[in-house]
Amino acid sequence: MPYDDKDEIPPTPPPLPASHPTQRARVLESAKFVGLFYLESIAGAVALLAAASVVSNALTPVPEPLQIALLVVVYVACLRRLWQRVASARKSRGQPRWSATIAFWVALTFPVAGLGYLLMEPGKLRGPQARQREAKAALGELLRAEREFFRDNGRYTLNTRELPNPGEGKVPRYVVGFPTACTVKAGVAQDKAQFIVDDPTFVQPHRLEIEAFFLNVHKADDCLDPKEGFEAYAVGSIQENAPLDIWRVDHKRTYSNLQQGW
Amino acid sequence: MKPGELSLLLSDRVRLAIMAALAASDEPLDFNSLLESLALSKGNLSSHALKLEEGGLIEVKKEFVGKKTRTTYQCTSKGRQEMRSYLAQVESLLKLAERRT
Repeated sequence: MPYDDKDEIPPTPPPLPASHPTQRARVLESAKFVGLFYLESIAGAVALLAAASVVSNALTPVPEPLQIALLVVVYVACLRRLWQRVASARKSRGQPRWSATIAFWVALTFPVAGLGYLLMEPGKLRGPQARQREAKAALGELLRAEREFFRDNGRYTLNTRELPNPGEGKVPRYVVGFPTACTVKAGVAQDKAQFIVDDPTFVQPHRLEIEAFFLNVHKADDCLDPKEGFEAYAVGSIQENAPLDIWRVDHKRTYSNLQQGW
Repeated sequence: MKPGELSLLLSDRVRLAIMAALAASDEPLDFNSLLESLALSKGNLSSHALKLEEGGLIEVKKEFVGKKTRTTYQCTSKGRQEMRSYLAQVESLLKLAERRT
């Protein structure tokens, strides 16, 4: 059998193209792409939220779901731009254009992990405007219960024992109840003037301030006769370093935000 | 036995439904599950439960589970007794009515 040197000597690998980067250069390139991606995403998000804030103050509040949808659009646009950069770099090296690279996975992982965290903690997704809706919902529930009570008893009540807790089954951020002067005038014990809230984060640090509000909001002479009407308040702290958020509702279904807490 | 002797507290349809649900359960029932099973409004359930509590037929417990508020209702022994006697009275009235027809 004739000797064939091809059997023993392995074929020489083809030479790398001149433009093929080293491992270090590739990592640096990935870092650059990821950095640009985050820079663009953050700039886009900040610009978008600033625009939403301007529109909210000047014209009409931009609904939160719309803001979230626009942020998702910015994120997807930035992700697409990253993909294009990666594809272009790969094409210049003679590699297939479409491939899930480290840069792409890094760009994808952090926002997805962040979104997962936010979904597990729904409260974090909600801004102060959404928290304010809690106050309106609680007062709405109180108003409905008061109307039912009036239908059965011919008077409204200032006793929280006689009403369902508007925060039942939830973590209430607002203390809901009646001015202390009015409950005292109506002969209701002071500890039944407001629904008790046990939230250590949003309520406890402001407990004294909230109690002072309910003590001072009305003088006994200004209180309505429970046979004619009532006024209820929802008071809570919805943003750090901001005043208390105060809402009021009366038997005529008039809601007012007496003090904005953000 | 006269109809006038029937328990006034249990003569109301909603209160009877609340008592039936609570008497059938050994465990306390919470506000939201009662609300769902009896299809009542919150104000309605709350005011009727208060009347039952004032009559000593149920026990109301307001507590916090974690940071969430939870109101539970449980039938007292007096409540179970009243319920049994109410049902016995209704039954005897029905028998009386049947005999007359």
